[in-house]
Amino acid sequence: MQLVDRIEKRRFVGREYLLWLWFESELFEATIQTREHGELGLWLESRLTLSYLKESTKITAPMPGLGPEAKAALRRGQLPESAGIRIAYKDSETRLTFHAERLAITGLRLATVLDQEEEEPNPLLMEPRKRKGKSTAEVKAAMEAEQDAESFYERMRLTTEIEEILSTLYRDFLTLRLGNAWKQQFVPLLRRFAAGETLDTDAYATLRRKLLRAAAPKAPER
Amino acid sequence: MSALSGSLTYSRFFVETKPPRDFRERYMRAIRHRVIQPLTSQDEDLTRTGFCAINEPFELELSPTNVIYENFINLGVRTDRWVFPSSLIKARVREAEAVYLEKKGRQRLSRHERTELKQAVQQKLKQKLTPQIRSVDLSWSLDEQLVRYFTHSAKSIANMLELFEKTFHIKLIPEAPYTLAARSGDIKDLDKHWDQLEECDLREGAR
Repeated sequence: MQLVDRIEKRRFVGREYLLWLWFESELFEATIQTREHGELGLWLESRLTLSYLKESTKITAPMPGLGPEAKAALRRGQLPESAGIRIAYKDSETRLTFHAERLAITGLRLATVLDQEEEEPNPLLMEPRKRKGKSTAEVKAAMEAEQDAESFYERMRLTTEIEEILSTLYRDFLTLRLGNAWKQQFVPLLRRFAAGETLDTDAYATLRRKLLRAAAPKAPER
Repeated sequence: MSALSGSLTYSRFFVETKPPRDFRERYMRAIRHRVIQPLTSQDEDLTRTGFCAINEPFELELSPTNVIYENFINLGVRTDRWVFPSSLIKARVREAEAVYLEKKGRQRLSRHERTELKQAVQQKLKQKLTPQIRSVDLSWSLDEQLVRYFTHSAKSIANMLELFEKTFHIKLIPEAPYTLAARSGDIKDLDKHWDQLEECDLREGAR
């Protein structure tokens, strides 16, 4: 297969990843885990769009995955296309909209600290710079540039943190998706999930752990 | 479209090569060559794309101070474009056609003449209008070998990819399920497995 086909003809893997996130978050009551991050909160919120060919279902609700129409769309062959996601990690919560086929993010709202601190430059900090022969305007501009840079670094640090969570979960998903158990064990579970059946959380957690551990034998178990 | 404030909407692109040791000098030189030359009414181009400072579309003096943020290269990708309201163009072209036909004593214009008239009208309108200016932030994280471009607009992305490749001689790889899987590098026989994938079908009765 050519590179372009591997990209274009397998975009559905992104939809399946979003389906798996939805499935895990519902099964584990919004607390999922990775080897690197430990436990974290992740759930679908606000909106969920599913589609198959020209048919699509758009759900707007506080918890859009929980409603019967979302599961009914799955049973009609639709897979999630995009969803609002909230991630609670460490002490902060982040909202974003995830677009499955491109693994793309829109509307990422970071819980930054510096953005909230819209304050005037401290005159005491300006004094030493003035002594170096700079005008007040130059000093103020330099300090604003520094604040912009600090704000940028903080935003990028938080963005990277969220991206790493999503990438790690994607890696775990791929381990399951590309393994032999996918067709035999996971797809039947997803069908039961779509049918609204109650699933055995412990049995799924054991299966998941076993497969992920097998794929990373040297990793310490949490 | 900004990386510095508000919520973030962006596309990710992977860079396969690491920056050279002298990247500061080399990349700054290359960036300065691609700073946008603002469109003027004298230019024949209808659109033009080039670099400006991040979040500052009118700041065209680029130096390491406003471009290199530790291990990031931050830029604005500015596009200037002449936008002529179609109703205005139609009305002006109609007027020009009438004058031209009367002058020539003819009933009809050739296609070539019509195109030339339209261009002449556009050229005249450029004296009265100003080009539309749009800028989108771009942040290249050198450590992560990752470019974040703060829009999802396909046209803007295409312009940026062309500009980036011309400037740095680097082809960016757009993020997609396959490219992210390949980037992780630790999936055994990825291509073999990937080629055999079939879409998950949860329809009732499907097996």
